[in-house]
Amino acid sequence: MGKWTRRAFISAGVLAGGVVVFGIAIRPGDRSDKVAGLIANDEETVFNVWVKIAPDNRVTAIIPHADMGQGVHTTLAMMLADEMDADWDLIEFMEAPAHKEFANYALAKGYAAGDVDFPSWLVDTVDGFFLTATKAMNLQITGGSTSVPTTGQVGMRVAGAATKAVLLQAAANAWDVPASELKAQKSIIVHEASSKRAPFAEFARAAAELSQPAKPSLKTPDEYTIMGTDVQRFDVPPKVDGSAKFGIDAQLPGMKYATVKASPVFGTLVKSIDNSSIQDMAGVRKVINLGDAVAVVADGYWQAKKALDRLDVEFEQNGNESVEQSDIFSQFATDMDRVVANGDEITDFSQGDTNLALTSADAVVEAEYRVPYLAHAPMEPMNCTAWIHDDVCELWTGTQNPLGFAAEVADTLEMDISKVQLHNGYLGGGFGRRAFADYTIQAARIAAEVPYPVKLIWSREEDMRHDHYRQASISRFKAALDSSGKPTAWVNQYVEKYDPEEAPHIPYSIDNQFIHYAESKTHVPWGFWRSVDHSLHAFFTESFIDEIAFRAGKDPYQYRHDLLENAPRFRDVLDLAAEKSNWGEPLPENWGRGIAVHKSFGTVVSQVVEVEIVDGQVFPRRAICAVDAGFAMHPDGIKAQMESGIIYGLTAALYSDISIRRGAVAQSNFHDYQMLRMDKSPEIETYIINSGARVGGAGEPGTPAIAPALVNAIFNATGKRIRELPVRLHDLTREDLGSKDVA
Amino acid sequence: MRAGHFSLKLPGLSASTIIMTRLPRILVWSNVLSINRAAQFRRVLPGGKQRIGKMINLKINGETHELDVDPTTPLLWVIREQAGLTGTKFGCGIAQCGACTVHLDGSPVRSCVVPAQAAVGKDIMTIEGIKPGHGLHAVQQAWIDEQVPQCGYCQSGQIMSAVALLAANPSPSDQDIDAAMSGIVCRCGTYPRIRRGIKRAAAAMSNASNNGEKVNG
Repeated sequence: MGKWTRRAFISAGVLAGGVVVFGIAIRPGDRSDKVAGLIANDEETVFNVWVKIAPDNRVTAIIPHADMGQGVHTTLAMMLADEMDADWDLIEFMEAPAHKEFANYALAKGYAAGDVDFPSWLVDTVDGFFLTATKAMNLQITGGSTSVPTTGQVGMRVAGAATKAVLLQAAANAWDVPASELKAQKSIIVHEASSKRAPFAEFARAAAELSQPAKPSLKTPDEYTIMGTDVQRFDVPPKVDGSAKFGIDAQLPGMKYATVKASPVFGTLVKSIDNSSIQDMAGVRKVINLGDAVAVVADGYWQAKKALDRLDVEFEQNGNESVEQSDIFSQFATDMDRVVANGDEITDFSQGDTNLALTSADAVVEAEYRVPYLAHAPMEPMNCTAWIHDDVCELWTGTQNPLGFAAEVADTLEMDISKVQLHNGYLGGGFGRRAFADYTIQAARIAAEVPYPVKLIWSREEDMRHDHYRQASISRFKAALDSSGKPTAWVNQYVEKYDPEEAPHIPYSIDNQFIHYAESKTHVPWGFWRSVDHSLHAFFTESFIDEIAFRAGKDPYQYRHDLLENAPRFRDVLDLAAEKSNWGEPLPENWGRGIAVHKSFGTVVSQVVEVEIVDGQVFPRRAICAVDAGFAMHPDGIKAQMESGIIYGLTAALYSDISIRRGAVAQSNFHDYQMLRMDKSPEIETYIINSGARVGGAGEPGTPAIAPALVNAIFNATGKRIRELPVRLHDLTREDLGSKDVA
Repeated sequence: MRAGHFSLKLPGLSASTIIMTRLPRILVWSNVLSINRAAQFRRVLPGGKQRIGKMINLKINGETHELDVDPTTPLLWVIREQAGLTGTKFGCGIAQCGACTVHLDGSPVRSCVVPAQAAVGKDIMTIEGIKPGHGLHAVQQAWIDEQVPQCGYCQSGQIMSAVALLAANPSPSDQDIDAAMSGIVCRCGTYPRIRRGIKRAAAAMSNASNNGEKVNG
């Protein structure tokens, strides 16, 4: 097979392969010995790296993913328990240690850097689909909405089924009956003919000696007893009494506190530090020059923060000090024009002949859209506690990639990765931000300078100004319509492509398409932001299809419906969302309704938003969401993720922009990077379709369609088409906004 | 603290110049002390241990803590770092997100902007303190029943605000909920469930009250 590119490797969403490959959980060679000491005590029996059984018949699911609010610990445990026919009340979970048996960072990292090809034995094992699982399992990354589709489907379920198979076989051996006569019921092995019954635990030791089938048969949906039900999440009780430990809650004897300030202009170095202004400050321990940032260590965070604010730090200049946001958009536009003029377009997707179709069109519609940079702004600011002692570096933090972080710290400190121990807490929001190790590396470097444990906490201002940002972009469209208003050509050019690669693709049947992009690098660091490129392209494509529908004089729902004849999953969710929203029913004055549909991470979502415009302010009153993730493993969990994706997306669409001023981020905290709050949060209804398609993700697919649904609703209410986000930038108070939409 | 403890020795403005130029800003933040007065708190305690502020007594969840603090330190950091109660969270530091909400004499406050000194003599209640002797507070139970939390980081602030709301207003309207809860940001978007949770808790407290049961509220 061909060499996997770095882009594909780090991509968050090229997982929709189309085939479920079993057998990845149970790889050749018994790996569980290597981690048994980390995950089990002497009393417990470890079956594979995913499951252990205790003498009291408790089954523990060992989950190689971080919980950042998506409930993955619970959902993955459900998938394991169901295949085992375990008693849900006896199921527990533990988060897997950051260990290479739960991932293979070295291999993956080498591959990502282009240093190595995957060895042939791995490729042969699973026909190359190993790569799909690698991103989630071997990198131990939580991201890309991959946990259920990969770890769950090819890890947890297989491990559960294989464990059940050997438990039944061990019982069959002991009872001298064929294994085929045995079944498992709620963690009890039953032989009906002889009325023999025994708990799993009774045969755990014997079963663990048996060879587990690599490709056990898995249940069909009609056999599920736990998957598809609404169990309560494991992580909720500790999150209502303050006992849940997040990274920031680490407490160690003798611990000190640090905070940092990096150069406001990305990428510049510290030129000088004058600490004379803080020499009299109580509790201040140390000032550390980290090269591109300054850290102050003190007895408490507040003292460190006060000292850092008073400290005189001068940074070098790197030429980006004069960059303004308008310069960045001008650069994008110039680069877009240039590639077209030079014929240097990078093709994303092409079919038919768009030029011909445009030439013979009855009407041509054009539009240009813009989106800003976005910060993740998770509620828990970046933080990490580090302690270097006895040749070991211990880290306490919240990360979407524990093993990757440990490896980066090991690289930085020039330590063996086995000497870096990372303890992952709950994540106070991730959204992609906690896949970047910068804060953890800083904490380790600070710890290397002091003899005590140190907790590094970023201020909110630092968090806002040193994020890895969702890219700003421009997208330009041109569509040809025939005499009936049907589109015959779709031309789309945008700037800056990351992942997933299919994000700009459309589901609509349009014969001639040319989707292409231009590269236009800036000095602003990029990062995975909830749904990644889908977060902008759904806004672009689903706004433009709405504009075409309006130009064609058609209802925007019906227009989409008619163009989805070859995309039944899309059409079904669109129809359901429209139906549940009472599409077409009249709305009160100053209200509007908008619709959008988009597929991401294997899951198709359609959303309808109803807005009310009050004195120019937009109130999203109601959001209706239809979702097809193939099969909803944990329906309430999917609903929660849709609600979350909607509010995250509405926040961005209504309020958020990170803008560059004099080379640095202008925003600093929640007063100038505003959040959607309770008073503007819509009522949300979510409707689930279990289509039986390959199982998709849930953490991200709720976000992309909501921004276009919102602006389409604003258009419906006001006649004003918003082509640049956020909505906040636009004046909606004027009464002469234009005629109301036909819809 | 000695200059020699710093890892870097760099030239620059004299300390007095910097203090003079920055003094107004420091005063805005502290409201209580000038820098010169702050300096006098740095006394050496018996045994040679350096004292960082002054001894104050804070009553947190009914328990009195004798703490050595710079009294201008926001209550949040005293609760988390010195009392060791980490359920109260840091989110923004400027009273914009509400993750740090605690009760002072029953009223919700943003502990990230309340100086510790201002809490002396008052009853401080944190998330760790609202659980009754047995079971859960009605709001906590409602949060479980509605499966409210996602990442959970803001939920201490949400719950403390909801508890205060229901104590003052046992059957809040949607507008009351908006007014009481819009100061607390949830990045995971749990607002619809929070609203349902408040209504569920209100109903549970009302039912229990009508039946003459002990109310965990």
